[in-house]
Amino acid sequence: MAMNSKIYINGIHSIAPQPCFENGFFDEELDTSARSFLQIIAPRYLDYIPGKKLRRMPKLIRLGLIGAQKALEDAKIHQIDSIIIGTGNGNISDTQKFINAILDNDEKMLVPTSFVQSTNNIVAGSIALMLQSKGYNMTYTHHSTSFEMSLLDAIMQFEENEVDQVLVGAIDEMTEENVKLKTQGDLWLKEPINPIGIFNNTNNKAALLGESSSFFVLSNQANDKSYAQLVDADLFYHATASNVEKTISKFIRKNNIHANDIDLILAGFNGVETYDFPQRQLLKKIFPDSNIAAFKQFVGEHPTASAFGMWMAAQILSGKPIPKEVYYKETPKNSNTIKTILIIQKAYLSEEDYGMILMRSV
Amino acid sequence: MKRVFVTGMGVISAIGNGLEANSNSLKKGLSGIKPIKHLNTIYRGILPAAEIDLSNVELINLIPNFDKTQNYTRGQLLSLVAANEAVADACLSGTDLSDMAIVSSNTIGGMDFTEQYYRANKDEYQYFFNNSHSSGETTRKIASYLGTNALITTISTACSSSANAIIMGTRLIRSGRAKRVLVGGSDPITKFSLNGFASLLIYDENVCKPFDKDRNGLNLGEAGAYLILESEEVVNNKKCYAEIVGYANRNEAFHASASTPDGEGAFLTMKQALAMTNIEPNQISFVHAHGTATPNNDQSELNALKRVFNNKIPNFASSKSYIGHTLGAAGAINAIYGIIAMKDSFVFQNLSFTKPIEDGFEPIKEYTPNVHMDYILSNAFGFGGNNSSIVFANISKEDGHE
Repeated sequence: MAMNSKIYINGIHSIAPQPCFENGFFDEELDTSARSFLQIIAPRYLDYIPGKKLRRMPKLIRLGLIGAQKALEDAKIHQIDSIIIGTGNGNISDTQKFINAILDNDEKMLVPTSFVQSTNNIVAGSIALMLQSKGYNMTYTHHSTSFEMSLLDAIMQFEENEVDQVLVGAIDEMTEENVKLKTQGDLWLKEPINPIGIFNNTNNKAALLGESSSFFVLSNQANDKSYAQLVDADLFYHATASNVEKTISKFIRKNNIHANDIDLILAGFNGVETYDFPQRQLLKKIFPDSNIAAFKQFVGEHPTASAFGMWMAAQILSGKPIPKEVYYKETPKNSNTIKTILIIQKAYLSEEDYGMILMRSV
Repeated sequence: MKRVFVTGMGVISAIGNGLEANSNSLKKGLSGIKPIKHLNTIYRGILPAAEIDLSNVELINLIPNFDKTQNYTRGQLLSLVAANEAVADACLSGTDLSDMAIVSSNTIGGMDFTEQYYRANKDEYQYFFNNSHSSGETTRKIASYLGTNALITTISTACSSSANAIIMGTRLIRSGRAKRVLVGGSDPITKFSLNGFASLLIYDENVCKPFDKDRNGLNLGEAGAYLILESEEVVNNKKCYAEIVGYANRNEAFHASASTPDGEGAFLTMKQALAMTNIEPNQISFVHAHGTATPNNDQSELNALKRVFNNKIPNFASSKSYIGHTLGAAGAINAIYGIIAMKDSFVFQNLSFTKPIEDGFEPIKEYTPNVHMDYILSNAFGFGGNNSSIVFANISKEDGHE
């Protein structure tokens, strides 16, 4: 068993509500226009998917197929051994389409396409089909730790010496219908807001809905442009509140890292003070010397937003300068080179699920 | 790598609540497939399905110390009933439970509430849809109920979901990341899934006929099925049902909702699961097949079995003509029935079979007691090309375990 072998992030790709399609780290101007929910900037689908197929293909599969292609291209490889996808909500579009068809037509004259495509594993299956990849194929659908579990599965496969290259992706979409349904209540923002300035207002009681799709090629071999190392990932649920601090500390220690070695924490803050504040207090207590930054101001609140955090962390660890919009509320304590990043995300609304991703520069 | 043992099981299905009731129905050849009685659908009284003849309120009454102030989806209730039995069966309590990881699975989450309240007023919608639709919510409900402070996650790989939950639970223990894991899955019957399979024209209007030449599609079933897996480090002298000695997850990369006729995906998966063990294919005593009774699956699975076993297929059967296709629970229930049969040394009849797909390849035609089994293979295949197989070893012959 190769417990000590390293895992490298050799390919990355993200489709998000901010310009990042060509892996520039916010080189282009950020979109600060006020919006009531954040939609991805749609890629030119026809450049990647033949028109005939594209027409009937739901957004989630489109994003998945493009993400897989671009991440593999970035890693300069054509085949992978394993495909692991995390999605908190799965294919909402087709699920809603089939429910509406059942309700509109009283269960009659139904077309099965949206039923088949509504399964949570449709993205992983479609990527396998595109790449003709007959290896391990997995889908996790567990709220805000779907992506962290996908990473953990990949790490375990490297340890088991079963794989050389793994594609890990995270994807969640927001449909117009779902936005309409969700914003009936008080949990989600209704008024347009500049997402980049989401932390400026301390009175937010509702979160800004968003969506994103991020893909990574993990490998047991570094290449000339490896972005970073994936050190570890873990997740936990706590039915009792007391052990959160202990569990986070234990995760760091297990990887032979001290709290003050963490140069930067990317936290899943979303601008809702009652959600952000206790997390911030906890993180400051465990990591008093670390800089704290955030990622949901770029992609909005959704279960797999932390995968966009990992895309940002890969950029930072590869040496790209950090845009100031990344920092949360305060400027960095020091501007030394960032070598170790911890991404930490707590579930929004039901607050018992925690995910952690630990990364280091190559 | 740590060895992994099955130390507890729990199941609720159309043929009974609990291991004993399910075992008895298997032995007696009693099918749970009947005209739909509970589901509010235009097919009520017309299409058959394997419904559990208990209302949600009756299910709640089966769960001790249950928080009745919250509304639980049917899938959540089925999970809690089965998980509770598995926990009791493995004699777990206190920190055993708080440190235990959970890998649960389902395919449609809280779809029963979603389709019922989708167009309801905003309060009902928020209450039922927002809080219950996602697949992961079922796992959270189990974790809250058991008081879990550990890794919990949810797998959703269509009809192979709970086989993959067993595999991931096994890997967590083998790697030393967990000492105990609750694994399994559940799904209720919903209008969504019923109409889905009906619109695919693979829903049989009669009781399904797995591995029969004249099979005409599947029937849906509902179930909750969970197993407790424990590491050799903690199992000591406690009761064990079986050891997990091989497994595999492979994708066929062929079609979103169909398998290759030659069963390439199923073949690769079974072959890989067997390769992981140190046994030869002819040491497998029983295959609990996926056997959905769709024309496509059974042809494909039979061909894969012929290839894996070099045309000498061991005893094999599908239980879909007892309990229907239970989707997210299918992989775990297949494992549990296989383990029950191995432990009690019997093979059960592949119900409603009359004519073989191909001469010489017939599933088990009658209940037979006193059949000793050393190793069994359990299959679960799903949409999206997802295939999974698991090999269980009968550990009673090992006189404990070294």
